[in-house]
Amino acid sequence: MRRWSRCPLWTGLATLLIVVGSFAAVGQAGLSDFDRALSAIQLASHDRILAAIEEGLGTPGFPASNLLSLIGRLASLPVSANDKELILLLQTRALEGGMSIDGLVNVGFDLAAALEEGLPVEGVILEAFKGIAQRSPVSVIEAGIRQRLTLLREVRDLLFARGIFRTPPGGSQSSPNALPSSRFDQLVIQIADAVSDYLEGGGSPFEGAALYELVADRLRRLPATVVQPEDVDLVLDRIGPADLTQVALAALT
Amino acid sequence: MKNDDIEITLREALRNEVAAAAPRLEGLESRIVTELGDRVPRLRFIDWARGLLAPTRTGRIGQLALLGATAAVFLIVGTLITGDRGTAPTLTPTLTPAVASRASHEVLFVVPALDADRVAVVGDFNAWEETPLSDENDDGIWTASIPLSPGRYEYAFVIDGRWWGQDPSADEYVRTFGQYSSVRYVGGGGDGV
Repeated sequence: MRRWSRCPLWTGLATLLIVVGSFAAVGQAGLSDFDRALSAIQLASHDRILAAIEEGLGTPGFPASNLLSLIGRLASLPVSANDKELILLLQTRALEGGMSIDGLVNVGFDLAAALEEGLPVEGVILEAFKGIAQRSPVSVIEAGIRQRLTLLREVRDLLFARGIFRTPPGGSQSSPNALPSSRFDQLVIQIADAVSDYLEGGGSPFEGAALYELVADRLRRLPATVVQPEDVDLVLDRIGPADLTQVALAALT
Repeated sequence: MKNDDIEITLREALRNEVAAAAPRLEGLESRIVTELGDRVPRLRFIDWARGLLAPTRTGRIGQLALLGATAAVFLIVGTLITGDRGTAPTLTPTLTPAVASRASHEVLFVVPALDADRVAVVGDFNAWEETPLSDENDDGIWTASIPLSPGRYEYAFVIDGRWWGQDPSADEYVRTFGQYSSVRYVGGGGDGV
C-alpha cells in the first residue's frame, strides 16, 4: 500500500482519473437542466417527457448533451408547440419502450429542420410512432422517417414546379392555383404518404402508371373536409406518372 | 417416427383443437352481427336510406323527390342559421383534445379474439398508443367505439401484445416497417363509416 502510494506513475494516473471524472460530471446534463430546457416550450406532456429522460439518464450511453441540444433547438423554432412536442414524444416513446435513442435524436434534428422549412411533419412522426408500437428496429424507423421527409420535400417541389402554390396564412389568394397553406399541405401529405406506402409495399418506382393510379385513388377517396375535390382535380391534372416516378426515385436514392 | 405417423399425429392434434374450440365458435357470425346491431343503431337509418335510394318499379321518382326536398330544406335552414358561404375546411386529425371534440363519427372497432386476455386498438387517431377494447359479455368479441373526425385512419389491433393488422372490415391495408395495418375512411369518399 505504502509502495503503491509512493509510485509517481500510479499517483499521477489516479489524479488524472479524478480530474477527468470531475469534468465528465460537470459536462453531463442533469435532470434539472432538462427540466429548465423543457419549461421553455409549453408542453402538455412535460412530466411524461421528463420522467422518460430521468429513466434514460440512468442508462449507459444515453445521449444527454445531444438531447439537450435538440430541446434547445426546438425551443428556438417559431412553430407550434404541438409539433415540437411530437418530436420530443418520439424520443419519449422510444425510451419508454426500452429502445436506444441515439439515432432518433439525430432524426429529431432533421425533423426540426423540416419544421423550419415549413414542411408538415406530423404524419411522418405518427409513422415513427407506428414503428415503435410495432417494435421495429430503430435503424428501420430512422430510415423510414428520412425517406418520408424526402418525399414531402419532393412532392412540395413538384407542386411548385407545376404551378401549384401555397398562400401563407393570412395572405390573400392571388390566383386559383395558390392554395391556402392548410389545403396545400394536405395535398403534399397525402401524395407523399401514398407514394411511401406504395414503395414500402414493394411497388416499383418505374411503374409510374400504377403509382399514379394509387395516388389518384387515395386522393379521390378522402373526404372533402380533408382534401377538396377541386384541389384533387387540379393536382391530378398537373402531374403525371413520370413525375411520380421521379419523386419515388428521389426517395430511394 | 415415420412421415405417416407424423401426419396422423398432426391430424389428431388439429382435430382435438377444433373440437375444443367448436362450442365457443358456434354462432360466432350471428353474435358479431348482433353486437354490431346493438352498438350502431344508426345502421337502421342507413338501411332505410339505402332502401329509399334503391331502384324499385314503383315510386322511385317519388322517393327521389322526397329526398331532394329534404336536402333542400336542410340546405336552406343551414344557410339561414350559419350564414356560411363555404369556408376552408379544418384539416388534419391530430392528437389534441380540441380536435377530438370536433369528432363527429362514432367508429366501431370489432375483433373476435376468443381466448385473449387483453385486446387494444392502436392507430394514428390515438398516436399509436393503446385504446383498450372490451368484451363485457365474455363471448370473445371485443369492441370499442371511438369518435373520429372525417379522414383516413390507419390502425391495428394488439391482441395479448401481438400485432394484428388485417381487420376484415378495413377499406384497405398498408404495409409499413414490414407489418400490415388496416385503413378506414371515415366520413364519405371511401367505403368506411
